Amino acid sequence: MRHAEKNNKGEKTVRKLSEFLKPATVEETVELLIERPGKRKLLAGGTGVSVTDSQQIDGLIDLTGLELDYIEEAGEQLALGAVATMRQLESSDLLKQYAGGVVAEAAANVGTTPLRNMITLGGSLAQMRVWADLPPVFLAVDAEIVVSGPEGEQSYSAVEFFSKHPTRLLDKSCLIKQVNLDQKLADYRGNYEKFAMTSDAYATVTVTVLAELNDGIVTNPRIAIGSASPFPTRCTAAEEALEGQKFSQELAVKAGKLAREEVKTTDNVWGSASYKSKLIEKLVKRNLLQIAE
Amino acid sequence: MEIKLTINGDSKKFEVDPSTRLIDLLRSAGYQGVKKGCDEGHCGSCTVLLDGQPILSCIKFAAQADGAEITTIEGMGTVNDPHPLQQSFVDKGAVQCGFCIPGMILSSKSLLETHPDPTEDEIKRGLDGNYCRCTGYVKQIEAVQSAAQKMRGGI
Repeated sequence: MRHAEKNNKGEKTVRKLSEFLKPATVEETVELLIERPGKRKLLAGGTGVSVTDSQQIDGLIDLTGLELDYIEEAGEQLALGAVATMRQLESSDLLKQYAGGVVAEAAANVGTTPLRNMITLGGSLAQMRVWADLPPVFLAVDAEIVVSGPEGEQSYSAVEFFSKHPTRLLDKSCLIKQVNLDQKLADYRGNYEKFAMTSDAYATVTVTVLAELNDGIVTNPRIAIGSASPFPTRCTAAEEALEGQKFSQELAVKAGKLAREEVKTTDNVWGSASYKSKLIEKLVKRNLLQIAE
Repeated sequence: MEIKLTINGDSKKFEVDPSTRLIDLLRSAGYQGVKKGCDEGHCGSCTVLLDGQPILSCIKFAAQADGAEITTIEGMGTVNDPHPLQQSFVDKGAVQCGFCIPGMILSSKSLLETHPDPTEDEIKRGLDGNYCRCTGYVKQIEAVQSAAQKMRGGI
């Protein structure tokens, strides 16, 4: 809370807040946002809001009364409510069984136990930090992100949603309501790996790999890289090289090399661009070998 | 605004400002075992149990905890009648300066509710949010194992 202020009792405050609102429905929430544009901030887990330094915000809208903390089967999809915590996602049997458990595994790699009890799915997506664990996984599984706003509900494909920061993509009176996962991918093999300096450090690079494997033949491969650059990246050239091929060690090595070439890595404190590129090559190969076992 | 909390089994009402953090409410209400360390959601010394689950009270808005059950270290045991976890932390030499210990004990309590016989890895994961800058974590792991055994009825 570098930007936080102290009030006259020496207690911490983000800003002097005058409102704490707890709507019961999504519609009510959107109305509250429209009523005072830019003045009210959505509050779910609070881990992001508590470090906010906005001078504009003087009210909080608590989303925990919306009953958006579900993880459930909905026809052809798995529906994940935006206020589900990382702890719920990591311990969900539905998610552990979905595509090799990639979503559960990514959630399990977020922060620490007390933070995972607080951090929510929607908050994580709304902030879309470079090091966030879930966005590359949702990109890999072609998740659908459902957003509620003044015009009603709108769905975004993962490719569209993760192409720019939500503050640029979404209207200020919107909230992320739900993420839908396609059940067709439920039986895919999959692996998620976070490479970080320590277990609770932000990721240097994350790799998500998914594929179907029948009689040694790879179909529908998906490779997504996170944390290596500002937005998560799908490695389409590597995926094309794998499609329809008989799986082998050499094929995994080739896919790793192609993935390395495809991702334009950037420097940050968790690793230089060149180090991240080397990691991508090794991690893609390693995770492909693991799902083929 | 007024909120209701059940703290260590006692129902209480508080008048809070929307920007008040749970840690400040608890400390000013006398629960000073809730330690203020980094004060920005990293170190875990402010850990309390909210409806049984460890959370960081320094980044929790008090108003959001309305209606919740809170457990602080004051709800665990006393000097004369310590909780098995507290006794084990003493017996195993897991405490040096002691600042991280309230959070460690509460995280351990939550862990043992669901994992009465935890593996070393499960303990490491259960305590991953509680930084200790004195020790090397080895003694705390032993203390949780020892407490788990006592609480299961062994020794």
